[in-house]
Amino acid sequence: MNRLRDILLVEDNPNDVELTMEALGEHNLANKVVVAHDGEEALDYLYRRSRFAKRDTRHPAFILLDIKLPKLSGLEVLQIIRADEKLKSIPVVMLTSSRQESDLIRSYQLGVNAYVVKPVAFADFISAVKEIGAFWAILNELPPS
Amino acid sequence: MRWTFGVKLGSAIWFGLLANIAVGGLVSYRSAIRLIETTRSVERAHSVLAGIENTGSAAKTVETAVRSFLLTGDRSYLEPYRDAVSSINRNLASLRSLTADNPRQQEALRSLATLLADVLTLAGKQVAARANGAEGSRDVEAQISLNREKGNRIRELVDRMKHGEQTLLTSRQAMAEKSANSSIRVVLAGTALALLLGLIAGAVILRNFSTSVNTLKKGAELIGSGNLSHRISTSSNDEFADLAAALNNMAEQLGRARGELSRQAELTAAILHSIGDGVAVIDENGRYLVYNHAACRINGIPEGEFPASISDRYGYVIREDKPCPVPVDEMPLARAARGEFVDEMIAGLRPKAPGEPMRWARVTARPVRDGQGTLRGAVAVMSDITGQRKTVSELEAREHLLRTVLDAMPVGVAIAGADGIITKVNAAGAAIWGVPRDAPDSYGGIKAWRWQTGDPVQPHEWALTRAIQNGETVLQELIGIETPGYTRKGIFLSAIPLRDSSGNITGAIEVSEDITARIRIEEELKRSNKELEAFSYSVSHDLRAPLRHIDGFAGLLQRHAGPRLDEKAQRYLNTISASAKEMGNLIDDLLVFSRMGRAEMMSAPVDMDQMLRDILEDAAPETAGRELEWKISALPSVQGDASMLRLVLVNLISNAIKYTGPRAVARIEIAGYRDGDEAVICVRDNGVGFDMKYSEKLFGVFQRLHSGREFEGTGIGLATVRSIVHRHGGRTWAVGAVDEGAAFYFSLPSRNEESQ
Repeated sequence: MNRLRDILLVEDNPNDVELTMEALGEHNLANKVVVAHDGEEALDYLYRRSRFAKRDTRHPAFILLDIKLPKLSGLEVLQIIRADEKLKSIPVVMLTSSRQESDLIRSYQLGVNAYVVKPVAFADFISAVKEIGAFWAILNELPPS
Repeated sequence: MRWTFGVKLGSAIWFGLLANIAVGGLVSYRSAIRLIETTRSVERAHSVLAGIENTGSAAKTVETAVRSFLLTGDRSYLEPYRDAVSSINRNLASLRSLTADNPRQQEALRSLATLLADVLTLAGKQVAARANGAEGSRDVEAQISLNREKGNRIRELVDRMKHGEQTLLTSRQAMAEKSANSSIRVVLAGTALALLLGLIAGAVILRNFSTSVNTLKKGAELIGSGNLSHRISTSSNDEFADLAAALNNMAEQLGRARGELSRQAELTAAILHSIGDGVAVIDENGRYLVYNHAACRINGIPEGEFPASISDRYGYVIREDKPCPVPVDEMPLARAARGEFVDEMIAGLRPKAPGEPMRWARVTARPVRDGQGTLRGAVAVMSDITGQRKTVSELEAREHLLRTVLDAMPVGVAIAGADGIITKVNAAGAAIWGVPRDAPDSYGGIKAWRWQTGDPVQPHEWALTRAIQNGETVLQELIGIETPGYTRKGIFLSAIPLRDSSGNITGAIEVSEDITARIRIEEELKRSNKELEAFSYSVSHDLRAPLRHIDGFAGLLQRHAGPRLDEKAQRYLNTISASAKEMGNLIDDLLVFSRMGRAEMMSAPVDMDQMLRDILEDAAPETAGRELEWKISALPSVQGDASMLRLVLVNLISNAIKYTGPRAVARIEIAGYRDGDEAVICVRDNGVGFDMKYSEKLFGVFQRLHSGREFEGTGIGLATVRSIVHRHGGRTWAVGAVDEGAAFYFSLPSRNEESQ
């Protein structure tokens, strides 16, 4: 294993991207964090299209997926991932502002691995993202891609 | 033998008759005998006279005939000659017997007979000679004169005899007359005597008869005048006694019959008065003959009294078949008295006396005719139906009430018979279906479909049809209809079958609720709910994101510049963070509150005891380090949405924990009980309490009785509690006092069928 897999962060809001990156940086993770700003870009990355056409073939270590996204929503992206034989084993963590129960239920129905509501309190947010990163990037053994 | 009147009368008649016969007979017997003898001798004298005359005449004939024969020789004269000869012989024989009692005549007769014998002998010779042809006119002349001479002598003798007999006859006739006169006298005297005797007997009998007849007459008159106890007494033993006995017997029989009749009349009257129907009979002049007690009751007059005539009492009658009052002579009895047949006429009788209530009777009346078919009056039988009429009018009033109630109802009500034909529809029903009230069965032309599927409703699928045909009870089926006015409506259709006492279906009632407006509102509500959902989704995402960023970047600033910032700047940063967090909590609570008001409820039985144990377990870390006394009683199990009810309990318990914060020992009691149809749960604490005048404000959104400095909180928790409890059909209330703790109650219906 010469290099750590990428972490795919799908988030349209640059503030959230920055805060999330900060939180993930807390662990000094060696994984490269790739940011997609909408659902389309997320799929472009996964299917190695347009600006991600030349990336290596390995799946990301996990995907941090916001729900409310321009173009394709996080739930739609999740549905496509889970419907695709090649992609469906990728761990997906919903990281969203939504406390909406329907979103939670829908996400689990579609096969999400974890659902994390972004806390308002910065400290809580930092610790939550740290834990996600630690669990999915470091501890969790992934099936071979 | 009894000395009856007949015997007396017979005796008198016989007595007179016998007296008559005895006296008359005795007196006249002898004179009668004498009269008879005298009469006979007179008759004999006549016969003797006739015999003498005949003999003389025959002698003359012989003389004449012989002379003629002698002169002529004509034999034709011989026949009278011979006849005269035999007549002379016959008469002589007769005279001999007739004159047997008279010697003088016997002597004369012998002389005559001798003379005649001589003449006849001579004549016989002369005739014989002439017949032998001896002629000679001299001889003849001599012979003729001889004959004449002899004839004269005969005539002399005959005359002498005639004279003697004539004298005898005269004396005898005188004697006979005398005898007859005496007989008449005797008979007359006898008759007079008998008559006298008869009259005496008759007078005696007549006096006897008259006395008896008078007695009888007086007795009969007494009996006839009605004194049936009178008895005729007689001392005699005759037919009058029999007649008196017969009259007495008759009087007794009559008396008995009259007693029987009056008993019969009493019985008839008793029967007439005891029957429940009124019976009245009038004669041809309209006078009442019979008026039984029931008739009196019906007509409102004292029992036993008769109205004088049929026009006596009532102002007029009202015939049910005629809408207007009619005159008294239209009364059934009056009509029947004119020969009409009146059957079951409903008559309203309005009494003349003021203040008496109207009476109603069902009357049947018939004319009464005698054997010749002449009208003799009328009979009426009447039954009082005033009570029934009252019942009927009460029924009508009830019907009117029912109709009014039905028409006041906002739902359509239609009533159909077993044939499925709608007979009644209320105002709302007519309005909903757009049909005229007087033709409620024009539903057929209405287009109907099932609201959810849009499938047309088939004829056999109508709620009403199913209720009638299958006995089904149909509850609030939602259908869409298009009325004749092309209005589309949503209708809740219900139907229940109507059954008679034996359970047979006699029709059905259909209830239709026009819920077009409700459906519209519900659709509106659904749409606005959806919008609200989108809004709160947006709030959840987009409103929280900047807050997170504020806190996030305040946190980052703290990290980067923290050591360089002075105390004031540090406090500013903390305030920014706290405010952001507070607003985050506020948004979270608001979202929960709004979700509780809209989220679908999953109603199921909830084990409140188990739920409470879980909640207390979860709350344990929160209360670590505090001294808390829990008093937990068994809670009633309820029906509802478990997650919502959990939120209710969590909110109330966390409030109790929060507001007992200042107490050294916090006491929290959780109890439940059943109150009628409700299950009530109470959470009581010994916390800071509240002023009861604000108790209703407690459950309002953002309503707080304490400042944020005293107690943290968003003011939404109790509003959420009330929202949830209300959605379950329950109530919330609170009891408390400042510094004396608070008790929060909520109730839930025991059978909560809420499922919105």
